[in-house]
Amino acid sequence: MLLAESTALGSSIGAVATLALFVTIGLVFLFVNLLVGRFVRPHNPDAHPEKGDIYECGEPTIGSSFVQFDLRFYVVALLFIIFDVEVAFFFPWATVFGKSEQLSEMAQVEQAVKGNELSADAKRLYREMGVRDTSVGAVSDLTNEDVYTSSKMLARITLIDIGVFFAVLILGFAYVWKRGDLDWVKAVTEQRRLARLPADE
Amino acid sequence: MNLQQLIKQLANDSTESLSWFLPEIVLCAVIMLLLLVRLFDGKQRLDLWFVAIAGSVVSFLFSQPWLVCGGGVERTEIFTGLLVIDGFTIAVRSIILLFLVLFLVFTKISGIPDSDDSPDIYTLVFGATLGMCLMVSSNHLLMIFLAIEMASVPSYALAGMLKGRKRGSEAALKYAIYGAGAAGVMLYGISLLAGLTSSAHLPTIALQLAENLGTMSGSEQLVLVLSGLLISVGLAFKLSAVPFHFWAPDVFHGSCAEVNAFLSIASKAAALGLLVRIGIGVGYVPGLEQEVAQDVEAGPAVVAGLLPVAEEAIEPIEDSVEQEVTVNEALQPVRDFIGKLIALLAMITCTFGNLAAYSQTNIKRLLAYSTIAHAGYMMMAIAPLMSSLGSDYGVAEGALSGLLLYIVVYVFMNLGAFAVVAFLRNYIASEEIADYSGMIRSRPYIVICLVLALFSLVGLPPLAGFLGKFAVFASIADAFRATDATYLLVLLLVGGVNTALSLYYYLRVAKIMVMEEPAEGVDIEQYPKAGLEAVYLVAITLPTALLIFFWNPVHAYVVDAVKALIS
Repeated sequence: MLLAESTALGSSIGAVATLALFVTIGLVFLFVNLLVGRFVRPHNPDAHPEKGDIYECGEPTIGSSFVQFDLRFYVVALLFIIFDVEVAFFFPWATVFGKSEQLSEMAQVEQAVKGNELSADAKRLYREMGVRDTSVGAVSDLTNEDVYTSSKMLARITLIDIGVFFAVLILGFAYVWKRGDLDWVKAVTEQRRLARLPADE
Repeated sequence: MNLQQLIKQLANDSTESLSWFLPEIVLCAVIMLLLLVRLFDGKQRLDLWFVAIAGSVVSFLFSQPWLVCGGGVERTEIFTGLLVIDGFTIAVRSIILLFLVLFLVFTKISGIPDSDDSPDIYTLVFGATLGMCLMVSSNHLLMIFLAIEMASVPSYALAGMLKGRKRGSEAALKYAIYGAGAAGVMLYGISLLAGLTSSAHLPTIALQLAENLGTMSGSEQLVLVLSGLLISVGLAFKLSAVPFHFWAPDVFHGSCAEVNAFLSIASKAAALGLLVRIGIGVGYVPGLEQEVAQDVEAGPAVVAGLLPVAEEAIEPIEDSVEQEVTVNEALQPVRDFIGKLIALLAMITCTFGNLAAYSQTNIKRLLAYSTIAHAGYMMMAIAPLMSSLGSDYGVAEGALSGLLLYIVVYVFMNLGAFAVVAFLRNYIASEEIADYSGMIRSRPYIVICLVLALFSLVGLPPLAGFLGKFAVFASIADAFRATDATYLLVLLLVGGVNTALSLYYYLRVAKIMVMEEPAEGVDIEQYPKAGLEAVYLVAITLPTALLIFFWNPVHAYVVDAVKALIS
């Protein structure tokens, strides 16, 4: 356990030098190849004008590829991703919440603890929730009551958690909506709103 | 541990952790409130500055900076070991939140953002601040990554705050792309480190390293060094340390001075806090004696329940008193590596920042390079910390308290400089240094404040910047005497030479403003007279000018803040 200075990171400069050597070799390898290509390849663009095309083989191109791409696509894509991720967060939550509810129901009908041990169904639920050690362990008098309170507690905590998470998300969504970022044709909608205002008042 | 115990422990842990987490919760609540008010304020578009300033003051009060006095804050791991609270966390978090309050007052006076934009901008500012608070308290590799991202992503948007300006958009895009690249590289380093030590919990990583370092094969050591280098890329990006500084001048040039102040101060303070966290977290296992004295179940058991690996790692501590000495001795090579790496980065950063600042004609670019150089000075303090952590606690504490003192001083002097830039922009619509010529005749207060801030950035004696530099350099000298490591001497010399180098370009600005004639055709009388701006500037500059008289309480405070951290 005691370490000799020479074997360990004491020689960290040597390790850094090794890494630097790798990086250098990588870079040299890249540029040597490019350089060799530059000297070896023929260079006569005038003889073959199609060499300058975007797709040398295949369809002739129509117009430039530098077209304006509407920013609103990104806004929609971003919103989609936010809700996508949100759903991804819901899945693990749902399994924990559902299983703890299931466990509490099991305990309510006195099915979770048989004798001084968890029932087979309860053990399965435990394992599905990621608890590897399903033995009751040091607790000598585990009752259905205990299982009920703790699983109810877990369910309640997770419910509060997801409530806060969802509220934050919805608030952000409502804000974006209010700002008009969801209107597809924002400028026109805004103009219409402004145009309507004098009539309304 | 069965499910019942686990749930009870989790519930207890969460409720106990929440009381330490109040400043962050307040920040979250303010973000929600800002959005909520804008939802219902109808057509009149209230200025939400009042919500923001109230929230920041409450958050600052909840951070309880006074707890640190007397060194009474024990190291406490909260949220199953994801975060850690100690004197250092509380002190840096309070500094960041105090800066937030000052920053909000500054934005109100300078008029950016307007009331229409205020919820957007303040939401971003609060979000970034939340990430910074998490950065200084993170104790887990995943938390480190999440905190950095949480602080960075709003910053990217803030850099493009002035909509419709080409430079602003360019700044935001450059910042975002550099940031994404650095984050990816850092994540790679994190995954290597976590894979090598089969844990992401920093103290557990330290224990694993202490146990396995001696028996590691050459290739494993290589991977370990590589992971350290890759993680340092992400941190160097946040610190704008050379060679990952390229974003800084362009971002500072493109975004407005308010955002610059935020990026240059809060973000740097948080990144330095995180650097210390990682350095101490991986290179040192604090409070071994206490943990041994306790029932092993009580302290780290919560972590062990969720991160099963920790259980095995904690085993060796129990064995004997002899062992606990070896754990921290065994980590000496790790600390040396971190210390030398940071020292090297600090030297390059400092020198490059100062040299590149010479040729700048735009005040924001100049201050960007000055920020880079100051990041270098502040990183210098971490080298003596790492080199003497295992052997001489007095020197290590001195280095850390020196760093804290530098950060406190830096908040005021740099905020003063950026505030002047923003106010002058409002008057003359220019940020070129040449346009500042002869400024002292039209508004002497502002110019005197800027000159004081610049002198303080140089580190000239009566001003606060001198105290910060002195504390850092003195700790390097102490560490050199204690350890006889040559690189510390080199570091000290480079720091000294750099201070002399920086004199020229700061003073050039002062000279142009004070000694040159105003440009032709500029009627100095036409500018509006400074009102609230002058009051704010004087209030920010006073601490810079007068800290030398109140140096003792501040010094005592930072020493208290680091006391329980390492001993």
